[in-house]
Amino acid sequence: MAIDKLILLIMALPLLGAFVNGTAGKYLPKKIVGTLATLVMFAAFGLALMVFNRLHDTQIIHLFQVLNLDSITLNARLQVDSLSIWMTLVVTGVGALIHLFSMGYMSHDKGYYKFFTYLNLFIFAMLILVLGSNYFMLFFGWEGVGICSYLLIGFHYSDLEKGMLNSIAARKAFIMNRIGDLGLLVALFLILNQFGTLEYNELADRILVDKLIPSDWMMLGITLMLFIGATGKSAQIPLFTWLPDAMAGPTPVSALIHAATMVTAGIFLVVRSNYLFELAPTTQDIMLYVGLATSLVAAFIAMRQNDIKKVLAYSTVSQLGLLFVALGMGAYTAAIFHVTTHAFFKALLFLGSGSVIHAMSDEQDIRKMGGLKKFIPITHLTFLIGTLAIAGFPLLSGFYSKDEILAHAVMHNGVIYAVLMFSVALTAIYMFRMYFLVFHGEFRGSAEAKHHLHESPLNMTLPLIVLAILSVFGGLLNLPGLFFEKGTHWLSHFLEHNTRGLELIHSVHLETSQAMLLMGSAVVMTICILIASFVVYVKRGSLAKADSELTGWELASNKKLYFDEVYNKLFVQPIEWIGKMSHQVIEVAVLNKSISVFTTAIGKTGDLVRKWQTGYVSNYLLWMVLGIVGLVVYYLLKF
Amino acid sequence: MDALIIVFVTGLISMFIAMAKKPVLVLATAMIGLSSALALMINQWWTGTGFIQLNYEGLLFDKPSILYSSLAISFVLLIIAGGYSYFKQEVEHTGEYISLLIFSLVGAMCMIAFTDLFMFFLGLEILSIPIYVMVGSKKRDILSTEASLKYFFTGSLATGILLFGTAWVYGATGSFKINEISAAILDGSAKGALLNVGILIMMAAFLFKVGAAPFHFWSPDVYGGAPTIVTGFMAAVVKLAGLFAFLKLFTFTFWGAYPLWSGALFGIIILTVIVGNLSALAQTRFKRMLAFSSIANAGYALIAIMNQSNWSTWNLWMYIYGYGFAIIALIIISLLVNDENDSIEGFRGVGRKNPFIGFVLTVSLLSLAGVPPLAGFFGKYMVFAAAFKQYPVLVITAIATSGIGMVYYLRFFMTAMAKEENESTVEKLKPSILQTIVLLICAIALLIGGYIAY
Repeated sequence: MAIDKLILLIMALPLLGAFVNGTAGKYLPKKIVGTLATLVMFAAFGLALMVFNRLHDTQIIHLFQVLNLDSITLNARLQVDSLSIWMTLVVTGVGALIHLFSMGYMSHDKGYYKFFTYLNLFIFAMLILVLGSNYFMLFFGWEGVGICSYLLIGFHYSDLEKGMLNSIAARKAFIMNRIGDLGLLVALFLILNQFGTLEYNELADRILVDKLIPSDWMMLGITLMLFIGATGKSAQIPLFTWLPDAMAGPTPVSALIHAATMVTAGIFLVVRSNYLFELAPTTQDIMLYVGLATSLVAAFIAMRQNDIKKVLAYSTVSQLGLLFVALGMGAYTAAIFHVTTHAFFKALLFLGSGSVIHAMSDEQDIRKMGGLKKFIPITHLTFLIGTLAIAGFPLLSGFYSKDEILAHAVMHNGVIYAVLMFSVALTAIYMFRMYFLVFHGEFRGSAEAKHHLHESPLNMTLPLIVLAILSVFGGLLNLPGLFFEKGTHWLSHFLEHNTRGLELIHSVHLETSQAMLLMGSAVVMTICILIASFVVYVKRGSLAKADSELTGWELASNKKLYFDEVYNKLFVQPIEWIGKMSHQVIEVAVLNKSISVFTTAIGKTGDLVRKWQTGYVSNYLLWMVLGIVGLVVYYLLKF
Repeated sequence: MDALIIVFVTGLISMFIAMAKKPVLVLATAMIGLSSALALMINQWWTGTGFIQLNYEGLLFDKPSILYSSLAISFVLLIIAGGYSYFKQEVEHTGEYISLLIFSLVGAMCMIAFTDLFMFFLGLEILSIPIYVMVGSKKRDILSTEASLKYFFTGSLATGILLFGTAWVYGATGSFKINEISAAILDGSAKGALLNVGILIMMAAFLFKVGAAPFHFWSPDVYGGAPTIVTGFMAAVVKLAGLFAFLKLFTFTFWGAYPLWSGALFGIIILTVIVGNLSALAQTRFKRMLAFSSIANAGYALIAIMNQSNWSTWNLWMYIYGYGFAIIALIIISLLVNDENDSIEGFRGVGRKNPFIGFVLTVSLLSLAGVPPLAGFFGKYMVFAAAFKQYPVLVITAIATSGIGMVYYLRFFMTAMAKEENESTVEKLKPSILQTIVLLICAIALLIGGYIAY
């Protein structure tokens, strides 16, 4: 099959799954629902691999025209190039594994079919996002993943205890994303206004070939708006607070949407628009510092969180911040590399946490865990690998991808490097803290919970194992040029091969000695933190404190630096006040009154007219004759 | 021409075959006959000629006539199929009902295809007389009898007025042929009071047929008293024939006198849309509400006749298309609900009793209210958009009053969709297979109407 057919099939499969499960899922047994949803994902991944093997040049697949006006033409088109097919592989691959995991994890849930419908629909939307050939398609997918994310965060909306909280979390995510979406939309309008097209290729031609570059201010505006869009979806300061709350959704959702794929849409957007950002150095700087701040703040907050998923959520925010630092420095391929490895190990960690939660009968507080390594050995081992990978332990995937970003930072600015190193160190600290608290020491939960402890079934552990393997060897995708002559920087070369704009950005590589020094210091730091954490949490048996005992920085970290409280005071309450006032003044006092006057008047006239209908034929005949007389009078007067 | 003959013969056969006391046979005859007539119409649309060429000048099936006739035949097909369960209740009368409907259709087709006033008058009477009978067909129902009598009285007067007006016009132009009348008015050989008053008097008769104020008083009583299915026929087919004949006679034949009749029509349309919509607001009975709504809709349709546009024929067709299918669907649902008092309250919870009917009801009501993307929206939009430049005041009034129209459509919709107090006692509504098909066709026609318009 030709590439275009394959791509269409890749897109159609998740849609088909969503359609079948969405319409008939209620009446099908759970096995069929889950198997169908998972199978279409594996099939899509297989097809994506086939496309990946055959792809040489950028391919455009025209589907249909959405809108054709004098001033604007919108097409539903797909574009297959290295970047989009790579993202497709990550989305379908990780997605397939998470689908498989969900079959076990969600097996006791009433909304089983609904869950898989949403999940498949999400994949479809995500594929449109990455495979679209213009910003319009991207926006379509962008909103599509947004709505799926909303539906899945609030998936347990009818839960007796937490239903309301889940709904509020979903709403929060949706509203925060809306703010970002507005930025994206403005950026789209600006692009349309300046370049007259939303197609990536045409836009790239205008900028890279024809050199039709608008003023600096316009470029700043466009890129800044794009970046605001990215901050919403990719949870950067100031719009990051929704992501931790999004952990209200089922754990596989956190793994798939809020760690591995959707939240990287912002990164994808920036990489896709790299040539725009290259023309706006100010935006790049803003991106860099916002990313840096996010990375640091989130890592700090993660230090004293006690909910296993919250720690991972803040870690995701922190890693996304790191990615924006990379983008701000123009290290696009390094960012995509880290997106990939992050997808592996963060999905692994989330699924691992899911497995832990499953074993703990839905307990998420790490203070009630401990010593779990005996009970759930496979989960423990894979979780350990994930922890080591994210902490940057030598030779695991996270080590390489992080190191590449750090190397760029050194070349960029020493201070940034230092701050980034600090953030990386914090990451290692909180991850090891969590690992040791969960898997080592004594079990701190109730006896009943202990009784229920069990390893998860194969369909849950298998994805863990596969992801663990990927987390270990993922680094091979983009080896630094340090150890080998050949085969290094494979992913960078692959992406630069036919992604517009990327071929023009030549990354400068560090000298060998300097690179060795960097790696060495990172390795030493990670190992020191590992040993220190081991001593603190295992040898000395230090435990997480109760919330009331926290003081100073620990309290600040535990309270999430009071971001939610400040936002509440600054935005939520004033807006609610305005809403209340406009209800009282405009709605009740002005609108309601005037409308009721209006309706009464109409009703009265209606009654009047209705009385005309007397029911007597003689009256009817009289009126007909009067009508004719009227017509004749009209003629006599007028002509 | 061949289609007209087939329709007539179908009517005859259905009347006589009813003597076998097998309603199915009547139904089958009617269906086959009307379907083949429809097929002939479509064939003539594509090939340009019918199979039978009669050298008769009174009728001409040109493209607009074919378009309208096909729609009329489709409406009657749907009405007969949908109302079959009602017709067969009284076996001895099944044939009469169906054949009278078909004869009335013959009249409608004559009214659509006429080329001289004589044929037109004949068509009008062929259309009307079966309806007088059918309106009163519920012999033991006092309302039905009253309606029939009222319709007959007022209708007779209207017929007299029409003949009177025709005589004036004939006196002025010396011809019954619409080509010759048109030419005589345009070249100025016919003018003055004789012609002008004649035209206005004829218009009064037309306004009676389509039910425009102040000639509309019969319609609430007649619609309300007639058997439900006859109400549907009147609202869909009679309106169609009357409006198209109006269009043909006035925008073509009396084109030379446009300033005269357009001024009068302007005032009448405004009066009609206001009276129709406002009176419909407080109705508690379904068919009376429908009657006032049909008055208002006649007012909107007349706007298509008012404006000097090449597209008027097409716009009006689209308008009637959206209106007719919605009305037929509603009438059949009302037949199913079969509330004795015909009150709107009787529809409470229909959507819950049968979601499919609820769906069709929703589509029909929203289409009547003019909500995109349904056919009713496109009809309204096309008519209003075409007239807006020339008559902004008229169109603004029409839009404002159709806003009032929204109220009673949506209120009815809310009643029909309301939750029953006690869900378990809800009895299901079961449409017959034929009715299901008819409702489905109506819903599809309303849903795809926009594409046809496009």
